[in-house]
Amino acid sequence: MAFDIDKYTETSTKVAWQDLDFSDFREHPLPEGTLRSLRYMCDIEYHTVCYLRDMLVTPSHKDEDVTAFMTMWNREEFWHGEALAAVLAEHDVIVDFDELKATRLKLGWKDRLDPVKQSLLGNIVGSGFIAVHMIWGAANEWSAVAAYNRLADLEAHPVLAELLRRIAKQEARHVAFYATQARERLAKSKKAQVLARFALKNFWGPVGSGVMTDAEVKHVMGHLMGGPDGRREAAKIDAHIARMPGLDGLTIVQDALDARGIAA
Amino acid sequence: MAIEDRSPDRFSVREFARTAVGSHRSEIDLAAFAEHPLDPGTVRLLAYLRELERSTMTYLRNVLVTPTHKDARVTAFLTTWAFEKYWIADAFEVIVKAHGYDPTGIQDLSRFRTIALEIAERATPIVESFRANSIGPDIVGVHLASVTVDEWITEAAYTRLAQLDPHPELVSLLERVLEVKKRHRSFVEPETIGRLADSPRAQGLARRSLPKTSWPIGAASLAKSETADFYASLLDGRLAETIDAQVRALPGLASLHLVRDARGSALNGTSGTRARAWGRRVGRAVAGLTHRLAASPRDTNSRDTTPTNPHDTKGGTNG
Repeated sequence: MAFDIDKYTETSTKVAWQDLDFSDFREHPLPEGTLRSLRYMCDIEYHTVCYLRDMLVTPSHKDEDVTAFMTMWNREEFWHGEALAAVLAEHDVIVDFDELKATRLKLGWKDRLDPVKQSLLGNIVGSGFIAVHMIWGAANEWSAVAAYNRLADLEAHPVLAELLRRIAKQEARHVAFYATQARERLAKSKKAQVLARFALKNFWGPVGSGVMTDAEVKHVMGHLMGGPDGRREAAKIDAHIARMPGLDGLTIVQDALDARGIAA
Repeated sequence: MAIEDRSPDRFSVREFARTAVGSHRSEIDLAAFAEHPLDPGTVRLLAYLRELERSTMTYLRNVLVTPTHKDARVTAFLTTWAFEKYWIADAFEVIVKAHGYDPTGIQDLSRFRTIALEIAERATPIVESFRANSIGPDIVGVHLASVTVDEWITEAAYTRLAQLDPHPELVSLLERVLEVKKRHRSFVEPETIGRLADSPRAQGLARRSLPKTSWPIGAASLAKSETADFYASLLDGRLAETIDAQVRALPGLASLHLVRDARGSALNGTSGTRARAWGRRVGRAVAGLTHRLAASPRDTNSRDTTPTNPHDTKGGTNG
């Protein structure tokens, strides 16, 4: 099914939480491990602009539908960051813009070279790379939907669960865009399929793994994707990816969990 | 407490994000344009202005590969800035389409320019990344300065367009757009001044890099004929000088003549374009008179869109 970009932009909105009673968190605070995962998710949402940057250096930046989507997507993710920051603030965990700057500064030279690498690679292989960008985005958004829904189930805190489901609903629309684009572009080009397979297999990592410390990545993976139920969710994401043209047999999410020793 | 809330005088990026202005569609009365269409020259300019407002992702592409992307306050601003500009572009697009104008010519570049642009587009993020990362955080001031100058140029152009073609619907849209842009300016202006004032190195960088920019931002990838039309129709020499004087008042930029030079190079060798633009200006003046005559008997209480301030008449005599 085609993704209606006009409908998406017209209905794109910042996630609402003002109607939810956040004072409930004062009476029923969330446990430490959950706050740690929320903090991770909050930082990642605020960092969307870094992903936007990595993607814009490829030829994708010229496509009008893609740029329309990126504009709205970037803003929606920023608001997810704001919403999660508001939950954390109820627990006296303050996320401010200056602290985020510090996180980004820690990325150092590796990060500085990434867009160069992306641009060289993207521009050498031309428009086929847009397909890679799209399947990459789809994998990340599927992970986000799974993570938010999973945390909502695990915590069963009515206010948190409602907020996380609202965020997951917006993430699902992002999935629809990326997956539609990826499917169409991969179906059209054998070269794109080979490239996508190569890129995902060798370079993909869980969302946030380039930005957060390994300890944090491990905590969140273990919290949300560990155990039989978590693993089942990870397998579902892999199944979505494997259904894309030319990507059958890929198990990148489960591989990432194995590589980090996350219990099954 | 977030840093945003600590200093009451500082622009609140959170408040800006919270109150972002989205789609203008519901406020555009297309029937009014069907009844009294805009001058074709105005439609052509709106199509060009649409492309400028829509060029944010290309701009961000070059900015985000530099240390500017590390500044979460600036990126939070740019996120909402891009969103609001998207919807300004959308509003112009709706009107341009309603007039049946074919905008494809705006992107018609000569074969040579297409190839040159392709090479430049591919190279820019790479070159920018190496250049700006070796420069460090001073580049943030330069990026904010370029947004500031661009805001000044486009705001002057919108104000001028509203004077030239005072179609009530267009004027009311442009007024709303100018309100949106005023907020962008209220962030980038003080940030630019502060960052340039703090760093002689940032001033030097800005002095060298701003003259190399194709003004207005986005013009580099659009047809030269349309940029020439933009300057010939909307930014006369006097207005260009007014903006340049604002630029020169920024810390360390007293030697620059950005808009004069950009205007000069856009109009250079395009005397035919200037003549045509003058012809269209006369056409628009007639059209403007028609809009006013059409509006007055219908609603005598309606807001008077006739230019009444002294700048309007003065501006109109300059060419």
